[in-house]
Formats: sequence, C-alpha cells, structure tokens
Amino acid sequence: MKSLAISSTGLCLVALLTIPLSSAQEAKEGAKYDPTATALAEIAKLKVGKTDWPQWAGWSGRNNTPSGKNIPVTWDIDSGKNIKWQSKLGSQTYGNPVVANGKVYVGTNNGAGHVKRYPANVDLGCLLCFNEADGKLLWQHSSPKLSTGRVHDWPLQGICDSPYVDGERVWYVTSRGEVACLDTAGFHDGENDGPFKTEPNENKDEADVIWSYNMMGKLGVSQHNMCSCSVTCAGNVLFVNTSNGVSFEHLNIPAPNAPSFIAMNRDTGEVLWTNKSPDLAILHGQWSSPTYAVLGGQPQVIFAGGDGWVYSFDPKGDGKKGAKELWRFDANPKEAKWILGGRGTRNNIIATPVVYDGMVYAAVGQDPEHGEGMGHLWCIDPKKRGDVSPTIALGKDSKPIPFAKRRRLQVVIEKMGESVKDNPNSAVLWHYGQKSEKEYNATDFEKQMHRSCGTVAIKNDLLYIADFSGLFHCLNARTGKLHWTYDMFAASWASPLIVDGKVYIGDEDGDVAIFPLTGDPKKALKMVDGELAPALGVINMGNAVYSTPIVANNTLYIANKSTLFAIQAPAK
Amino acid sequence: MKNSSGNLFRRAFVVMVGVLSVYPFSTATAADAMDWPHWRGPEMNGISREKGIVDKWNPKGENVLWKNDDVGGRSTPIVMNGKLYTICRNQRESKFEGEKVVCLDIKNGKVLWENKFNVFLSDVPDTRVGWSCVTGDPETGNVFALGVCGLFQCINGETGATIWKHSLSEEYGLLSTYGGRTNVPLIHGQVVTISAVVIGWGAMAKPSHRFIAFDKRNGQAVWFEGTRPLPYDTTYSSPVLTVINGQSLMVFGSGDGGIHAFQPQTGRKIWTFNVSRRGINTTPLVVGNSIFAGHSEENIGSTKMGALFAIDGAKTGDITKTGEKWRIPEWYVGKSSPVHVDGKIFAAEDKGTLLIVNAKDGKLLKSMKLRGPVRASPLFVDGKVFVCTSNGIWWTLKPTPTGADVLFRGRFSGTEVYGSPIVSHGRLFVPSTQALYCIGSKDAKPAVDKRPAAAKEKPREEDAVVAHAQVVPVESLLRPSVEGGQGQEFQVRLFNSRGQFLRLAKPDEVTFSINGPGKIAKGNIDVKGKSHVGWEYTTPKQPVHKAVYVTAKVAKLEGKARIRLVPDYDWNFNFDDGLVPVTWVGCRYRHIAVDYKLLTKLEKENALTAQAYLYLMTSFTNTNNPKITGGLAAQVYNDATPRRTWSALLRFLKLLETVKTLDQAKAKLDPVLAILAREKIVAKHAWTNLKGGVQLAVTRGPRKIDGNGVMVKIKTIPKGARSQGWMGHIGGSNYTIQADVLGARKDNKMPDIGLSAQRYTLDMQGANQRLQIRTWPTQERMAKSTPFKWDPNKWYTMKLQAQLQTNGGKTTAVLKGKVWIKGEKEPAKWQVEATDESPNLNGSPGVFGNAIDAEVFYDNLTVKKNNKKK
Repeated sequence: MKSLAISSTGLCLVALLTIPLSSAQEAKEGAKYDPTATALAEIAKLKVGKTDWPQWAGWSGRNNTPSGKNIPVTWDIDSGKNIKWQSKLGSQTYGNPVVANGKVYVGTNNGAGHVKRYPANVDLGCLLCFNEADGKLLWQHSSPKLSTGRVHDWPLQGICDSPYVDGERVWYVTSRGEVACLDTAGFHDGENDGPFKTEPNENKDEADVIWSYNMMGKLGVSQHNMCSCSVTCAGNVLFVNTSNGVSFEHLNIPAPNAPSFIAMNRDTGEVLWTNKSPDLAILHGQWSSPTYAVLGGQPQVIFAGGDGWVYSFDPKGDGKKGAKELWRFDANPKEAKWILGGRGTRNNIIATPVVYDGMVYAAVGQDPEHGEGMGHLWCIDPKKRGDVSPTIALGKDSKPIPFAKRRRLQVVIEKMGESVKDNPNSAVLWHYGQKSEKEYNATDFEKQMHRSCGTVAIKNDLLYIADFSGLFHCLNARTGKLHWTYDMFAASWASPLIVDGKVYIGDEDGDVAIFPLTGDPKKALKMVDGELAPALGVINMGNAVYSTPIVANNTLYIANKSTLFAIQAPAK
Repeated sequence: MKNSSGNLFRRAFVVMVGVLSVYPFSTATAADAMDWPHWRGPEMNGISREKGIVDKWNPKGENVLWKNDDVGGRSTPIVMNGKLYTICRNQRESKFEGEKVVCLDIKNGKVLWENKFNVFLSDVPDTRVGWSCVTGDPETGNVFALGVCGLFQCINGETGATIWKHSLSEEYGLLSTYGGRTNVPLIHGQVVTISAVVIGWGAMAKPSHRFIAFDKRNGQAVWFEGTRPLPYDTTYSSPVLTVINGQSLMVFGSGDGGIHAFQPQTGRKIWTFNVSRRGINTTPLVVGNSIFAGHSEENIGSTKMGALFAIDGAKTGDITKTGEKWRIPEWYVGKSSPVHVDGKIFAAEDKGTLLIVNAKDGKLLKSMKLRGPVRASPLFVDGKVFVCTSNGIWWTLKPTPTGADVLFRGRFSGTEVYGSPIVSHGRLFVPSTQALYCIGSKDAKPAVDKRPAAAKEKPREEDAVVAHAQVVPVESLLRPSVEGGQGQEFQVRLFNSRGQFLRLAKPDEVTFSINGPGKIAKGNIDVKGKSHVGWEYTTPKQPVHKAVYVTAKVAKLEGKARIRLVPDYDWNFNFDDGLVPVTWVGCRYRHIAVDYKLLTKLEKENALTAQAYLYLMTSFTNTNNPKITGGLAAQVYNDATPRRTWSALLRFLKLLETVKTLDQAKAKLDPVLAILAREKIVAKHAWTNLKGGVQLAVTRGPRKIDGNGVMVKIKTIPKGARSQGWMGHIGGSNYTIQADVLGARKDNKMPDIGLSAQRYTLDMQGANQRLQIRTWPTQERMAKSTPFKWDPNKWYTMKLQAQLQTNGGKTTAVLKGKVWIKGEKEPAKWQVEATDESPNLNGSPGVFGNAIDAEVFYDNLTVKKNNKKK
C-alpha cells in the first residue's frame, strides 16, 4: 500500500495512518537475497528519485548497500581529482549525508556560519541542505544550544543524526530535543508552508518549518548530552528514539516517565504511541535509530535501547496510545557490569539494527568518550516472540528476575547467589565476540570484538562492521564465522558502505579504507611495506571521518569533520 | 596590643615571614639529581638525564621489579628522596571508598604511609578518582596533593601527616565535575599554586579558571587570579615553570582556551595566547623561549579542529596575533604533552598518531600510528622515547635524524593507561588503572648526567624598584562575635617588576583602609608571647555575614585583599534585604533575591507577568553594569549580537514561536510591562524596530523587596543551573540546617532542592519524587533514599541534621532529614536517616539546587547547633 501524498500546504489531516503490510524484502526472503534490490524497491515507493538515498542507511532496513556504477576508488582532496564538488560544514560533523530530489542534507555545527544572523562563533546545531548538482547551500535549519548546557546539549557537537526525506518534506531530530518537519524547498518556493508559520524570517537560506514537536517539553524527555536519532518511516508513521537518558550524576533517570520510543503521524506531528521500556535501566544516553521491516509476515519497528536491549514493536501500537511489543532481546551478558571507562563489560547500543534476509543484526557499544572495551555482535531471529534473549537471569531464589526489576548496572551478581541459564526461547542465530571478560582478555586483539557504535552493512552474505578499537571485521552473515579482520590503527565511529562490488569505511584518522567485496582475506588485503593494507587502497580525507560514506545517483558522498565531498569519476 | 580576640586559639595569626626565607626558589637546588618531584620531571619537560634504562619489559614478568595492584589509577607518580608518591582510589567499590595519597618505597613497592580522605559533594565518578598528580617540594620534603573534590593538602613526605589543608570547594568555590579533570600543584619558592574553575563569592561568583597561590608553609592565600570568565571547560593542563628574559613565569593552558604566562610569585599576567574555543588540556612544553602546546578542539575562527603550535614566550601582553611562531591545525594533540629531543618535537595525537616535527617550523618529519588513543605523555631518557597508548600498547623508540626507529613494542591487556611513565634511580615507573609497575634491571647501577644549565632569573638587585604590593592573606574568613571577635594580621609583600620578592613593607610605609565593618589599625601584635608592630584587622562584635574589602597603599602602589565575616551559628537568613548573602560561595549570579509576595500577586493577575518579573530581576541583578542594577540605565534586549538577548527573553516567556514583529511584541508585552511599572519594578520601557528585529529597553524601577524576600535559583544561567554553594567556615559539625523551599514546575518537570551540612546533602528530588541523603552523588556509598511525593508551587520546610557519634572509639556520622508542608506541625519522626562509617567530621553548611528544569526558591534558612542532648 502506498502512503498518502502530502499536500504542499502541509496541512494534511490524515485520519488513516498507513503502514505497508508487505514489502519487497518480505517477498525476497528465502530466494537469493539482494539488499540493494530490496532497498531500491522500497525507495521506488517514495516520492524521491529511484537511486536517491533518502534516509540514514538509505532505507528502513538500514543496510547501507546502495546501487552505483563506476564509483571511484581513487580521488584526491588536494588536487581535486574525482572531486565533483565540496561544501563547507561546521567544525564537527557526525550526521551522515542523505540525498533526495536533487538535494543533499547533512547535520553539523555552525562552524561555517552560513547564515547571517548566526555568525560562526554562535554555537548551533545545523541541518544543512545543499544542491545535489553543485553543492551550493540552499538553506539551513538552526538549533540554538539549550541553556541547560552539556547534560542536554554538548557544546559544539551540532546535529548528529540524519533526516528522512519523502516528497516535499524532510523530518529530523534537532539537538534541542525536537522532531522537526521541514519543507524541502525551504523558502525558495516563495511560500511559508505551515501550520508553523512564525519562523524568525523567510530568508532563502533559512528553513521553512512545517511543524515542530518538542519532546522535552511535551513528553518530558531529558536527553543526555545530545538528542540524536535518524528517524525512519513506514507509510505515514514516523518512528523516533527520544534519546531519554541519565542525569548529571549518571545514576538517575531524571525523566523516568518519559518515553524512549515513539511513533508519530508524520504529517501532523501527533504522537500515536509511546513506550518507555528501557526505563530505569538506561545506562547513559539513547542514540540509536529505529529500523522498520516486515519480518515473518509481521511489520516490525525495531529500536535499540540505552539499556542494551533490542526491542521490536508492532508499528500500529496497541490501539490505546501504548506500544505492542513483539519481542525483546538482551544484547549484554547478564553478568556484564557497567563501569565507567574501558573495563566495563556492560554496554548500551548506539548502532542501528540492520535487517538482512529476514534476520536482525546489532552490535553493542558506548559513548566513544568511555574508551575501548569488550563488545558483542548478534544475529537475531525476529520471528520469535517475548523475551528472546540468549539467557535468563535468575535471582537468589532461582526464579527469573522480572524484566522490570533488572538491576541497571549488573543484572546478575554471582556473589549474591544469582545465576544465569540458557533461554529456551532464545532468538540467537549467532553471536560474534567473546563470552566472558576472561575469554576476551585471553583472546588476541585482532580476534576480539570490541565496543562499536558502527552499524553493519551486508551483501552477498558478507557482513562488515568497524569497532571503536579500530578493527574492521568481515564475517559470514549467515553463520557469524570470521573471514578476516583489518586493523585500521585508528578508532572508527563509522559504518561501512557496500557499493559497486566494493566496501568503504572511514576512521578517526580521516582514512577511508577500500576493499573489494570478498570474504577471502588474500583478495581483500594486500601487503604494503610489510603491513596488511586494504586491497583497493586507503585515501586520507584531511581530518576524521566520523560519518558513513554513502552513494546516491552514482556519486559517492563522504563528510569529514568540516567538509562534505561529492566524489565522482568523470563520465567515460 | 589590642584585645581583639577573647579566644586565643581562634585567632588566625599570620605566621610572620622572615625576609630571607622568601628568596626565590631555583629548581637547580633539588636535593637528589635522580628525583622526579613533578609529574613532568625535574625539568618539567618529560626528560630524564639518567642512563642505563631498560628498553623492554613485559607486564607478566620481564624486567618487572615489582608491581603494586592497590595503587593503580590515572595519576602520574613522582619520586622524591627514594619514595614514590601518587594519588588514587581508596577501598574501591565499598562503603568506605574515598581517595588517598600513597607513599611507596621505590625499592620494593611497599606502602610506607597512606593519607586517606573522603570524596564529598563531588560529581566525579569513582573510576576518575585520583586524577591529579602529587607534587613534591625538595626544599622541605613535603608533598602537595589535590583530591578530586577539591581537598588540597600539604603533607609531610616522611610521615604522611597533613600539615595544612584547604577544602577548595567550600572555601573558594572550586568546581568538581563529572568529567573529573583536576589540576596539579606547582611550587615556586615559598608559594604553591593550584587551579580550577572557581565559582566564588562577590565579584568571583561568575565562573572562571582561577589560580590560588598559597604560602606553602602555612597555607595562607597570597594571590588569587583568573583567566577569561565563563570558560567552556574544566581542564587538566598543569602549569610549568620557566625563566624567560630573566623573569620567572608559570605557563599553563586554561579552561578559557588560552595559553597564559603568570608571574608565579605575584599572579601578574605577562602574556596570553588565545587559541581554542574550548579548554586546553595539554601541559605546555618550554624549550628556551619557545612554548609548545597542543589542543584537539576548535581553533578560534576556523572549522579546523586541533593544533600543535609554538609560541614566542618572550613577548608580552595579548600575543594571540603576534606570538605565534607556527601552528599546524588538524593535529589533534589535546591530551598528551609533547617532548623535545634534538630539535624535534615528539607529540602524540589523542587518536594515536605520533608526530615527529621540526621544532623550528613545525615541519612533519615522520608520523607513526601508535595503534591506540593516547592520554599519557611521552618520556625521553637514555636516548629513548617511551610512549604508551591508553589501550596499553607500549613503544620504545630510538630517535633518528629523520624520525625514530622502533626498539620495542609491547602490550598490556585488561587495563588502561592514562598516567605517564616516569624515571627515577634507574627505574621506570608505569601507572595503569589496575597496577603500578616498577621496571628495570636488578643489576642496574643508576647513573645520571648533569642537567643542562637552566635559564636564571636576573639578579633582583638589578631591579630594586617596588612594582607590586601583595596583601597577605588575600582571602580570609573570620568570625565576628559579641565575645570579642577575631583579629587578622595583614602584611604587604613587595615585588619588583619581574615578580621577584624584595622585602616586606614596613608597617610605617603602609596605609591600610577597609570597606566594610570592623576596623584595621597599626599597633603591637602579640603572637605566641612575642610582640611586634604590624597591621591588624579586628572583626566587629555584631554577628554579621558581610564582606570586607581591604586596600593597602604603599607609595603609589595599591594591594587588595578580601575578608568574609561569618559568625558562629545560629544563623537565620530571610532574604528580606533583597540580597543573596555576599559571603556565600557559589551562590550569587546563580541565585537572585525576589519578592515572593509580589511574585504570587503577579501570578494570580497574569502568569506571564510573573515570569517576566523573574527574568527582568535576573537581568537587573546579574548585569555587569551597576547603572542597570541601580535603575540609571536600561537593560537592552535585542538580537543584534550573537547573544540574541531578545530571543532568549522570548524563549523564557515561551513567546518565541508567537511573537515575531514589533506589533506582536507590543501586544503581548506592553500589558506585562504596564503591570510591572505599576508595581515599580520597571521604571520605563522603550521599543525600537531594529533592522534585525525588535529591541526592548527596560529600566529598573525603584521598588526594593518590601514583601517577602526569597532566594531563587534561576534556570537561565548557562553552566550553573545545577550547582551547590557554601555559607562559611568549614570546621563546623553537629548542626542542623533548615529552610523553607519551593520548586516550580515547567514543562511538567520539577527541580531538585537540597541543603547540606557537614558535607552531606539532603536532596528533595523532583523527577524522582524522593528524599535522599548522600555525600558523593555518583558513588552512593552511604546514601539513603526514601520515596516522597511532593507538589510543585507549594512551600515545604526541609531539615537536615548532622551529628557525630562515637561508640567504642569508632566515630560515625548520623544524618537525619525530614520535610513537611510549611506551616504544618513539624513531624516528630525523621523521614530519612543515614549513617556514615567513614564520616565527614566537619564541613560548611550549604545549598544544592538543580534548576535545569524549573526554579527553586529558598526562604527562612537557619543553621543551628544541635541540642547537646541530641
């Protein structure tokens, strides 16, 4: 079913919220699965270009495998070789580029000072909209810093997420804890589209807001350090992780009643249902983005929580403004302990869950500020229901510890007579990483799975993920068996891009490593000066690449901290 | 002698300073050439002149002479007189957890003594405890250490006994944050300096990164100076000493994003180099007249982050534009301090690239990936550079003309490395979070080359002209009392233009004056039976809470000092004078006084007007312009500057989305301003249609608080809406603090309201709807909580009692709290009680408030001694 069109006035009162009941990915299940075709089929249903990449990881299954031809493996930011254009961003950029209908969107800070009323020395979150053809700035949406400071809105960190675009509307989460719906045309169409019409000005270089929903004000959310979620959509329903997190002293949840996960009417901003499952077990912040797919015939919206659990809900909700949970999965061993710094073994989830051929993938990690540490990567069967965690926590009395009573920092403490047993309802298809801290410490660095805020990318059953310790892992997506790892010698916060038979990954040194799409280490890597190197080379981008490369319309986009590059080989 | 003190033991006598003992100190006098008395070494540059240091080691055995698992942490140790000193966590993850300064025998790693203390009223998490480094004083053998919560101690290096100490948070307003970044003491001659972001009292209520210099012998504050106000960050760049142009300088990176040089004896600023929008954490490296440092944050005026840079330290003034020798942006040298080897700078980027750079021009000779993030600073010794990543990869490098060769690479696992390796007596000492390692060869015969001659100060005889008058003590806290009060002797120390001590001013050549109660006079002063002529301040007999500003004139020079007068308990504050008490540390600027009766009246009439009253009163009170406070000039709100004060006003009033034009502004706000004019809060207002939008100018009206004065913690203060403050002497114990409190509600959110006594807080939490007693918010080692439903916009009375109890020689602190609706009968029962087996024995009364979400109001605050019967 196709979603309802949005009227250009923006005042579209949709009574019927539509959620597609079947999708291309469902139809493809079982056959030789092609994530690119699945993505393109979904994108084709939107009012965007066929080879646009209109949201974080391109589509609701969040597998960054766009189509593309003749995507360069060589370019040079100094000489300009294969650089189609470059545009100035702020000083810190974490938001990944999104391309739709001739425009490129990227979240950053105000270091570039693009609009007159906000010179570069004013700290803002900025969503920038550039012209896809030449990289010229079209407009900027500005979010002044919250006066409450870094507990809610970290200095100079800007917008850390990516928007979702369909037709003439763009939706995203601001650093002020708002969900904003903007007019893709800005004021270039000569209109101030509403209902929101009290923008401070109607300058061409500023954003035309359609509606804005303040999650802090209306839902009582208290985001920790930053509000960040790359929203996704199913039909008219927009899914948002509110970023609700801990307070100053990192022990309390200052907004215990605020939801973590919400569904909204994307046309009106009305909240359809909410859920606060991570609740008092939120370890730090919640910065993961939701994923949507039809899995086993059931539409599912999948959120990863700040408590380290993955949750799946029926996108329709329970009909009473609440959520209808389908399954939940604890991605931490029950004995894992949250300790600030590198020695903690309990993690939250910052990565976005990914859907591949009816399976769900997610890795655990933490705020990179907490250092490196032990991680896990899971492949989950989303057809099971209920608590599908690998294990069950048992109290002193050997009875299961109720979910609502799980201890925040450490669920099972052996010294207290608590224990763990296997869960007969486990949805684990495979686990990559070490089972215990002891095993982790006994394993060679190159074979450890470390904390990651990276999202996996999968194609041809080859799964790639970068971790915060700088390892880039290639696994068999169906078995979890390791093909190879490559040490980038620099932390990576980014996620891989698979396109045109190649794999791209950026790191904190600004290096983009390029590999052929293969599980064979002899083909993926080569020896350079006595060290293993990516077979297709490494290109330095001048400064850290925290964002994820993407491809749209045969152009490669890479943002380093301060510049967005459009990379394209000249037409042959 | 004036009989100013009826109670001799309470007198804060100045230790009389003999002229000869104030001679400048020279690092060359360090007792032992193999000592490492400062975390960056005897030359403060990461270089050791020792020889015969091993290249290789393995945490599992090879070349490990000893390891101590109890003193692991993030601090870099020091060695002095054959003893190692460090600061670390004490009794991890227990109800006794705190911090300790530890002294080990370098021969075997055995503990010689421990100086243990509590972490109190600090947001620092347990894993960040023991962040600072101990500094040794070879002259006295004493060591100086700053705990994460601001307890600053002078400790006898032989015995571990505390010689003197200050609680820098309670006394001066040191900010202790979750980030845990803590500074390192620096000794120069007779002064020891320490720094932090300070939110103090009076003119120091606005946050700034400030340095306090204490006389190292008795802990009296001698100077107190800051950098640019409202810095973004707390930082841990530690100052280093050098001599440039014959003048001693302390050079440091500041929370304000600048590198600064002060005279260490006087605190006078010699130069400032502003480089980053955020704080600087690297410790500068001085080579000759050049200063090398780095940062990994925003460069001012650029989207390029990070830099390694060289400054000409021989210049003076604001050298931001003139002092830069070179700067290479996008080198993220933000945590680790560089070393200089043979004309090359070895600097490690945060993300783990080692840069080997030509010191003259910043040209990159070689870069090496260290394979992990770097926090520790490299060490150069015996022709080798040692550097370790935070994930435990150890590198031994051999510098070459074009870069460096790798001699050895090793790996720790299961630990993190934040502290830096040091060398002393032929051994390497390597700190990790899990253990401290001593590395070397058993048979090594320690040897050391002579240090290169350090630049010397010009002889002070060359400049005997008095250029600076320092009034000591620069800050005092005294007790006025009907029984006679307290006296404080003041002394003026005279320095030349290079900051060299010349002499004490003779009492006859000084004229002291004060602004504030009490009196200051010259006369005979008796100290321990000996009499001399000097200047003495005597407190008034009235038990007032007041500030006294002291000015000393010596010829044409002026020196200044400040005194806080705080009497003994019992206290009663009702804020009816319209002021937040000036003597309260960390309270003004973040709190203002308003008329609650008026606020209630306005709320009933028009809620928007009540909010406008709060906002305008905040503007009038917190402006830097006394004419605005006094109603002689208008406070202007517009969006013409990046501060965008008009938008900020509208946002507070929730009008940002509805008021766009001048007409809309007038329609909404003219009625509000008319009511405030009627109430004489506003004298007049004027609208202007600026090109960039609306401008409103409001002049304060004549009305003072004439109803019910209350103190409100405002929510619009950046970096301070959640904070604590302190009211006076830190020696108090066994007392009860009580106040009427009210929390507003905004966007459905309520604030947290707290009172503190003896370093414990009773917190009435809004979001969590509970009462909590705690001492350390992030490590709830003795905390107790109980559910407590309370309503917004309703006055409650809140009471916290602290009492020490001794049973069988064991002292505990017993804390009891209760809250009841104001005006109702006080319930007999306490609602929440906690016992601390590792008790805080004393502490100042204080307030805590979290007004991030909504305002907090306080009234009728009292502090009373506990009834002896208890």
